[in-house]
Amino acid sequence: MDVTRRDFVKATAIAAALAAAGGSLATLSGCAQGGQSAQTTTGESQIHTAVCRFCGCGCGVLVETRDGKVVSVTGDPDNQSNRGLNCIKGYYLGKILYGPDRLTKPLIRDDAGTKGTGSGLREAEWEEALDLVASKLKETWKADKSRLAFWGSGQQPITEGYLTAKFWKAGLLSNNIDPNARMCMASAVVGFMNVFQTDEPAGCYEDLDNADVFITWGANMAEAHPMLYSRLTAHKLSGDNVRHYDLTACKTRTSASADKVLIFKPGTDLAIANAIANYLIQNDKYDHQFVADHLQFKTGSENIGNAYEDGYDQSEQGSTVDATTPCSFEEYAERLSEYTMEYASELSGVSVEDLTELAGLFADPDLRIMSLWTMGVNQHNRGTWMNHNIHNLHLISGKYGKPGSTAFSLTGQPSACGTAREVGTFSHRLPADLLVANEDHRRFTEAIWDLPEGYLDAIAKPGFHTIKLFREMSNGNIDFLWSAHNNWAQSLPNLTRFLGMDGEHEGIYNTFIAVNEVYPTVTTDYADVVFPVAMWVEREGQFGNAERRTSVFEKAVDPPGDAKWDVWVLMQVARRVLEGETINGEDAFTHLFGFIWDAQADGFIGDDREINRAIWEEYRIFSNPQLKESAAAINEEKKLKMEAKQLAPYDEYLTQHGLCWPVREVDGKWMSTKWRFANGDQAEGFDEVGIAQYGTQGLAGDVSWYKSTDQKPSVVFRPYEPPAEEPDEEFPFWFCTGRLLEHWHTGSMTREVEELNRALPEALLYMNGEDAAGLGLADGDMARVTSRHGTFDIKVSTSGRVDPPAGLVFAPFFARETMVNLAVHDYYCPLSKETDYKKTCVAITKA
Amino acid sequence: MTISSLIVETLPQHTSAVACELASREGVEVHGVDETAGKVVVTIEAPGIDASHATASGFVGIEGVLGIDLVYANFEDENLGDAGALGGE
Repeated sequence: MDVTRRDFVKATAIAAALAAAGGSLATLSGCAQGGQSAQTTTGESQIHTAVCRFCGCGCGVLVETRDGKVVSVTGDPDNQSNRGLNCIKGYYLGKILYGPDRLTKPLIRDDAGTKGTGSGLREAEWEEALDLVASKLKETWKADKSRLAFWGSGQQPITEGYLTAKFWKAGLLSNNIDPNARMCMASAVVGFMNVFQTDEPAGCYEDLDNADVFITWGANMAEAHPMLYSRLTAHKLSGDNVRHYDLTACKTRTSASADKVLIFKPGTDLAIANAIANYLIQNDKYDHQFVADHLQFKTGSENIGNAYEDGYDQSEQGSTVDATTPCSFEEYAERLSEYTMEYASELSGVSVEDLTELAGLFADPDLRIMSLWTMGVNQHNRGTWMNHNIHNLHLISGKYGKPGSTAFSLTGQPSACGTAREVGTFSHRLPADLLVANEDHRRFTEAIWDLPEGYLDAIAKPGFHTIKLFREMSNGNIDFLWSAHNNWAQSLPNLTRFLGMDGEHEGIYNTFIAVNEVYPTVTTDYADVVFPVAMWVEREGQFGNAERRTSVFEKAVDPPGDAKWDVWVLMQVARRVLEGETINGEDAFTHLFGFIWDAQADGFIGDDREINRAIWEEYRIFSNPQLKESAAAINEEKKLKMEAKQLAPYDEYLTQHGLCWPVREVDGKWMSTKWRFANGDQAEGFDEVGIAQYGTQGLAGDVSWYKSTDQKPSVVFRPYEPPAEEPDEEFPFWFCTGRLLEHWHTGSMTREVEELNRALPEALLYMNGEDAAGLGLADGDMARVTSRHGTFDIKVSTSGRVDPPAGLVFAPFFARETMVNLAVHDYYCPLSKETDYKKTCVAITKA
Repeated sequence: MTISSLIVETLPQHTSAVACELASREGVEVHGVDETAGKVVVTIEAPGIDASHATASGFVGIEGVLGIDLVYANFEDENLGDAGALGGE
């Protein structure tokens, strides 16, 4: 760029950063020339509103394009999730689209025997690839519906997930659809549903600006949620006495900046939470009014075992895990009473003093406490129980509802909330928290989809959840699998079994596998057909983040080569599969998708914006039943209270740069709800409209849980039960896997970026120095890690980036050449069916 | 040339020392310091995205730095999306 242009761009950069810094610096931003207008003054460039592609924070960005190319990104100052700030992964938002390995042609494998060999795929035309996938799907569908499946993602945009779910549930009448979010959020979902009868956190990111105490429960926010952690640390600095307690099984970068780090033995977080609750009750430090006004108490099934066997779900133990029985507060207190500080300390290894200090925080009525958690709690063999126990603590201490006082589950993917959870791309769900097993919910869905009454009774029984699906596939019981926006052949646990490497479970070779992808992955290496698809801003879409904020990303550039929008691919396959089928005497495809697709012309009715708007406006009826008379009647008669998740008209999200549901129309203006169930002015983000419609005013804390049964959340007693595996002589170490800053999940995008790869080129086994020395291992030595399930080799590090206590080791899962999931077990929380990736027992030797 | 701007979040007692250290680094200019909030506004001018990212990543190691927020990144000189760019660098 020339000097004039350079000065101009620099002035733009300075102005944007000064404005985003706020405070005294913002007043300087006027001195810097350029600002927002810099992008438009060049004449030929365009600005597109978007949301970052990485992680679950859901930060808004502005993407500038010129001549069809991305030339700059700016943190979106109008998106309230991040207010103009991004983490440094933002440098690569443009470049990530243009990696050298980008898939631009459909690929077909002619010989299934070449799966997993790194070769065997040939380029093909779209017609051939679409015909092949559609014929395989139709053949399986006609022969035996239980042998087909779709595995989706928390990275699918909302409208894409919605259409896929509609095709699978209403078109194919199949519940064999589940997302990778099952392995990420499901324990949080079941926790919210069991406690509140509605999913997702009641609070928002602004709670980070208002808390007196932060507690991270097994979460490395500093690396996995950098923007939110930055906000947490900024608030810590602004307050005189803001504290952060890090409860963790393993020291991380998050521990480094915490005020206090409490290291507990894996799985004993259940006992710690119960001991705090017991302390509050024994010392009469709980919130009496809150308990009286808001809570009901229950006990639940106990001694629920683990899914060691494929038939666990159907066993007597496995099939009764959801059962609960009402009990009194006194009975709840009685069950808790064995959880003394001494007992919890003995189990967890955390001192009685530290546990008591923690309990003292909840006992102080003036402190606002924000609990934050993610995979440590969710990927847990009692993940749902641990979610319960955190909610229990916040509920009995009344620390729920005021800004800064909340139990907030973080999310791992950009749209795990928006797409997987809100749309409901799960084997047991329909859109908007509705369940296939609930007759009223099926009637309501039929009304919106114009299906004959009773049509969805065919899917009253839930389908295969993720691990069930892949266990069935490995047993040779799945003939057709389609996956999109995920890399299951690297991210699933127990890959030794699922990839057919144990000499016993070789179903993967006989399953026809179709994959939508942007880059080659381990999964495409097992695909029979690969569809090259649009990535991020190559089409329009929407993400829903952890604070219930829905944001639209506009189409900014075209996909490369022959790559196509996923919705186009879905429509092409659906049209072929549903050919000759009817619903209510009408062509089935047209009945379901005629509102966006012209079957005669074989194309979309409208551009990206119009198609997205049309899909959204249909989806929006689920939370705005008044838009359709038949749906409104069922909502009222069955008291579904669907408005509790109210979404706004599509264009509002564009003009307002994202909104948090429930979005309420007040005097013609659509407004976010930042603090759900907390009474107050809607314009300030409180749930005024929802409480006026369905709730009760004047209760303790001025909150009203109007969606909960009898308007009372359920405190369910959940005991400590041990992990699925515990160290023994043969397998003496805990093995924990997760994410580190530079690489996201399986690295299919971030490893395309040279600099990120240089910064973290290989997956290392982080070990305690004494453990390593005891095994004769030094920094840089190769170790062999073996579990009951599989084995992998990996280089040892005692550098301390992740600093485990003796007896625990950690390695990330991003590296395809170091497949840690070959050894990770696939035992899941019996309630949520989410795998515990954090507690496989392993032996370590020098390789 | 890639031009970017960032906010470096610091412990307030380290803010001015961090700002001095940042200003001494190649391609980095300091444009604003808020010692109360612990914020330093900088630009990085570097030959490409990777070099910019490397410079920004290097801030993590400075004593007193708590976080780095990217606000704006202009990489128009990289010609992303050109036929050549898809074929590798």
